[in-house]
Amino acid sequence: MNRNEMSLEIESDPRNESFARVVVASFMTRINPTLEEVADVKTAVSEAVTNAIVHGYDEGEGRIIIKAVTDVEERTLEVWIIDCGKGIEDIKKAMEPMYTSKPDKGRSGMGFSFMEAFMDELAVESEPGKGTTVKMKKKVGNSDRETDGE
Amino acid sequence: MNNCEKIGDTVIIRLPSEVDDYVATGIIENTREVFSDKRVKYVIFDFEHTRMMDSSGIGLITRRFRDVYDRKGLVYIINESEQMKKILTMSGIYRIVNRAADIEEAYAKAHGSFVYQT
Repeated sequence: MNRNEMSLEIESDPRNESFARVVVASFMTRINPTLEEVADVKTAVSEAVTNAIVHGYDEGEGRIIIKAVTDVEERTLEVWIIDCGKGIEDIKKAMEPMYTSKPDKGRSGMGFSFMEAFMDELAVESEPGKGTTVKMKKKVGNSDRETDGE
Repeated sequence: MNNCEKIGDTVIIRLPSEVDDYVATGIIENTREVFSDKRVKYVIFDFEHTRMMDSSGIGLITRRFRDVYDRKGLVYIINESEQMKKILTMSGIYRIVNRAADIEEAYAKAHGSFVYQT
């Protein structure tokens, strides 16, 4: 079995941000990532989950689903972060570096830029009033610096 | 959770192993009072224990940068790992903050030749 899938549902509570990224990080160990690759994924997942909490549900109550798929042969990880929150009116604008709809709250506006930078693929699907799904993919083993033993 | 120390006009913030929105918001809250003191001009962010950070950490640094910038102060970043350097470089934060090897060097740079003793 090359392919493996998991799904996790959490409350939109900021305290669950670390739980969500740790689950994805441990799930991806089967594709044998480097520590750097794990840190990259943790940062990207953290961004997406934070967005769902802060923007999707406006820091109110809601549910977030995190789906992940690994492929041992391809050495890929796919992560979906799904919320049923308010959705994004203008995805293009939301993805612009430094743009934030909440500048007064200390938001840097770099969430999507970080996801893009730390993952290989990023797609955002959203409908106002219905929610947002962030789909990310990363292939590990791209760097030649892997020195971890068997 | 966070370790914050004030020495005269300088505040040292020792960041934890993972900095996300929840942690960064907590640090902003916990350091609000110390930064309301107009005499505070310098901030040193110590990344020694930090292994993971997302853009919330950048939001935290820029927030405190704005506080001290108005007072003609400076922000220093010390002890960052390669992973942290990658994130900090990507964010462009190095354009507004300074780097130093350790607390002593950051303190000395901020205050001319006066060296802070641990």
